[in-house]
Amino acid sequence: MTLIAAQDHAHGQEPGQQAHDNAPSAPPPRASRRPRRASRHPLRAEFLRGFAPWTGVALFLAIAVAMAGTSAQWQGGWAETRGRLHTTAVLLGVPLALAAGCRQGGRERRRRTEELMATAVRGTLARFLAAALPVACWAVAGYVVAAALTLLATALRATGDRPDLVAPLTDAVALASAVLVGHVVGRRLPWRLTPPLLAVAGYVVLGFVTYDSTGSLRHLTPIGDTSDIDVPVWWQPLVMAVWTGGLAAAAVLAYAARRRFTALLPLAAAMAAGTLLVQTGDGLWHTNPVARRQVCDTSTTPQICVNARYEDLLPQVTAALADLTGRLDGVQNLPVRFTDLPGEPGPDEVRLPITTPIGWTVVRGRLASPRQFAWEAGMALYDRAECDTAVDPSVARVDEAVQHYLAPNPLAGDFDKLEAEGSEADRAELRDRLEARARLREMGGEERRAWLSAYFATARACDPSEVPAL
Amino acid sequence: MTTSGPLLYVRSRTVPRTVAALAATAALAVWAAHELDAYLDPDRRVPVIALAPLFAAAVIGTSLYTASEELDRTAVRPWWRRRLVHLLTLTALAAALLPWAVLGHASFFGPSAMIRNTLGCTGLTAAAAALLGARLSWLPVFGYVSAVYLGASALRGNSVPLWAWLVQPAAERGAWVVALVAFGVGGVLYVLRGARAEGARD
Amino acid sequence: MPTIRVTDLHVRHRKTVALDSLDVDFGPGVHGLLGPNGAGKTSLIRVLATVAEPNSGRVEILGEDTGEHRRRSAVRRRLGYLPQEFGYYPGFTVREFVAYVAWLKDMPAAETPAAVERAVARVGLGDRIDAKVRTLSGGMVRRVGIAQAIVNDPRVLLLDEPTAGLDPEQRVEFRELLRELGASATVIVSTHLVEDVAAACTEVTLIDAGRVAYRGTPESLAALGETAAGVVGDNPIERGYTAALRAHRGPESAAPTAHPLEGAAR
Repeated sequence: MTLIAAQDHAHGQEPGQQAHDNAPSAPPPRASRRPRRASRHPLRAEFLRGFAPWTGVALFLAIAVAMAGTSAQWQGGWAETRGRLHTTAVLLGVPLALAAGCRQGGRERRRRTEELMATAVRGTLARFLAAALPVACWAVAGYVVAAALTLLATALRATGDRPDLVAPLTDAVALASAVLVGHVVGRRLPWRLTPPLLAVAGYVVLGFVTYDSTGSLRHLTPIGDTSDIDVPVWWQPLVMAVWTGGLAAAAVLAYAARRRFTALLPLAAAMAAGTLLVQTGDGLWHTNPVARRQVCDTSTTPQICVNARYEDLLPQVTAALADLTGRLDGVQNLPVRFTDLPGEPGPDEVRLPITTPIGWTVVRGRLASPRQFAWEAGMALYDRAECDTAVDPSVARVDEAVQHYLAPNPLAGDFDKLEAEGSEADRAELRDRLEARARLREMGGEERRAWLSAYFATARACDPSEVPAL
Repeated sequence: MTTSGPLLYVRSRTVPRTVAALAATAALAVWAAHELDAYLDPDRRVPVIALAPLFAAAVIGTSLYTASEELDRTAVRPWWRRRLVHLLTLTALAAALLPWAVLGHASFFGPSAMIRNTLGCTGLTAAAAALLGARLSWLPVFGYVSAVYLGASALRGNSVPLWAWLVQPAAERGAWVVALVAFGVGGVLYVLRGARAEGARD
Repeated sequence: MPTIRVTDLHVRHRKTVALDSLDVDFGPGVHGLLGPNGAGKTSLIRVLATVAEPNSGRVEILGEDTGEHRRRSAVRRRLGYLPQEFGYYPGFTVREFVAYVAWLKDMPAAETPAAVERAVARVGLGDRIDAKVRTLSGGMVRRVGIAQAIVNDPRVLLLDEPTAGLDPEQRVEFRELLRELGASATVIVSTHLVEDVAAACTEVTLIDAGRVAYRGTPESLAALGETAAGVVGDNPIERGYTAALRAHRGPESAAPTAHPLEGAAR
């Protein structure tokens, strides 16, 4: 012992051997000026250390990247944004949240702290929540940041309608529930392969239920219906939250509560909510009242109407169609308006070229190609699709000339060039077509209006003799 | 119980359990392809084509874990050969099992697309194991695959970009190149470096 | 007045018997728990720590029957435990980890910060209190384990091989700490290092094959070694250990080389 004691002294002089200076009976160092971190809550570490923050980062990145990659398809439309964010959060976020919770659940086994935990005074439930809730909170936080950025992106390019802030809350509940359920699974099956297995299982289940879009069980998945013109009834998010949250609470209580039968309460609530969802079925959704309205510019012929969901697009659409409507000024027998409502247009109406789904015609709140749009609008003014026989070439020529005059196909020049280099028949056809265009162009203003009025009177006629010639 | 070195190595990496998991994956894929009525339309196979390799790669990735990382480094036998055989055998097994789920339609989403995706996903997982550690090796691949799977459905028609190699038809040459590069790089990374030590995290 | 009273304790792991109708009690002071590997030391400590359930028998700690679920948390409040395999969260700092354990032990929040600093200082980690556990050496981690065990000023302290991984200097300091703790609390130290027992313990309990083989003071054990003939050991207490084991095992294992003395040889 003397030898050890002697070494003691020798070692005590070395730097880094602080242990000796703080000999057991010595007063604690720096006790007088305790730093602020000393008084922080013990559970703060659970929130800031280890895996939990990474869950938030991973969820944020996954959702943000997936949303950014498809931004053309949702930015600018609130309904599209809601649907896309919802699908992404559930299909991508829920499996990730399950895996993250599961990994955290396996922590006590992995870190070999089970023995220490077993002597804790705090109950199983308190310890469970102390470990699981930080991950759940971070998962929700990651999602909320991604969702906020998404909503902001749409707010900058919004063209009408209004944001739905309740749907993201339902998703947040679903994500938190997934973390908790994953944690229970991770505690029960603390293996290396459990987290990826659970994630893929979650993916498969969600994927399959949504794949079969007719079954009534699909109302139980948090994905639900994502039609852009439908909105849920007001209580649907609430019941959905009870359904997902109730299942998670039941799993947690069944695992960790001292009185396990308390799990029956959330389970009963979840079952009631689930039954309600399945029973109500398609009644959970109804057409967005906004989508059944349209806003119109009545100063033009025909009038131009845009669905109220995109009401701010009206000036752009009017501008794109300005040439076309200008050339139709004073022409008779035209449809009353371009309409943009769900369902068939009325007898005096034609459908506005479709603006949905966004990402094609309308990108980020802008008409992607006004000339293309104008051409499609001009095409809508005549319709011989119902004719039994193929359209007579002479009529086709007349139709084409009118189109070309009102709003030429942006690719017309390319087509003409192709035909000019083609066979003899192609060249003849091109010659006739160019002549027809020239005759229409060279008419006087009054003459052309009269001719066009006669033409549009036969816009749906099938008999070539009815259609005025050029 | 045997004391033959290779067999003990196999058991140390829980290869029997991995093989069982791969077989289960293949069975699940066959069932899923059938349930999706994938024989009607090859496009319906995309979920199976994307997810089954992901699952197989996750299984293979976690099998790269070693419980005795420190000890392994002191071994006399060169590890790279063992790692190479380990990775190649399991990948070959997965590549042999999974295509049974999607027979036919070879130039769209048939067996060759399944093999391509298996190679690509396994390569990414192996790279993740070398950089992150085997336990979490499935995570980046999982995020990537699901992002591609979700994103690609919204992509326009034929202009599927190169990063979406997973959901391209098998005839697409670029997708094969990307998958093979991923497998090559990931494989080499893992074979040379082994799975990253992950003793003290979280 | 014993603080721990164990009556007719049976613990079985699958088919092997770990503790076989054990009767033992412990009062305040430092108790060394000696015995060969597999003798049942860890099983006893785990039962005392209320981690493991005995198959039968009665364990009373601080007057409370630990078999009763309700009484258990009253016991755990005044209990400190360092498991043989001490797990921790590497991302936590020393302060955070010890505070976390304090929270687990339901200590009043107002007292926790000071208690944490005191415990960490007592094991000599005061200067590393805000270092992450993953950056510490093996011996330091062990000391974190001791700190978490004493954070609630336990009346009963159970330490399973606390000195494993400590260097000689740290062990000397640790013995000092043990003596200090033993002044007021009942400290049970399971160990293979007989010199720890000799230096720090007031009493020795030797366990073999799930039964108490010997009880006494370190001095009496050493004396036993002096008087017994033909036993191996480098110092009196090691010889006493061997002699007590042999006497307990009786004539059937009397041959001097019949049983390797794993415990003492370590």
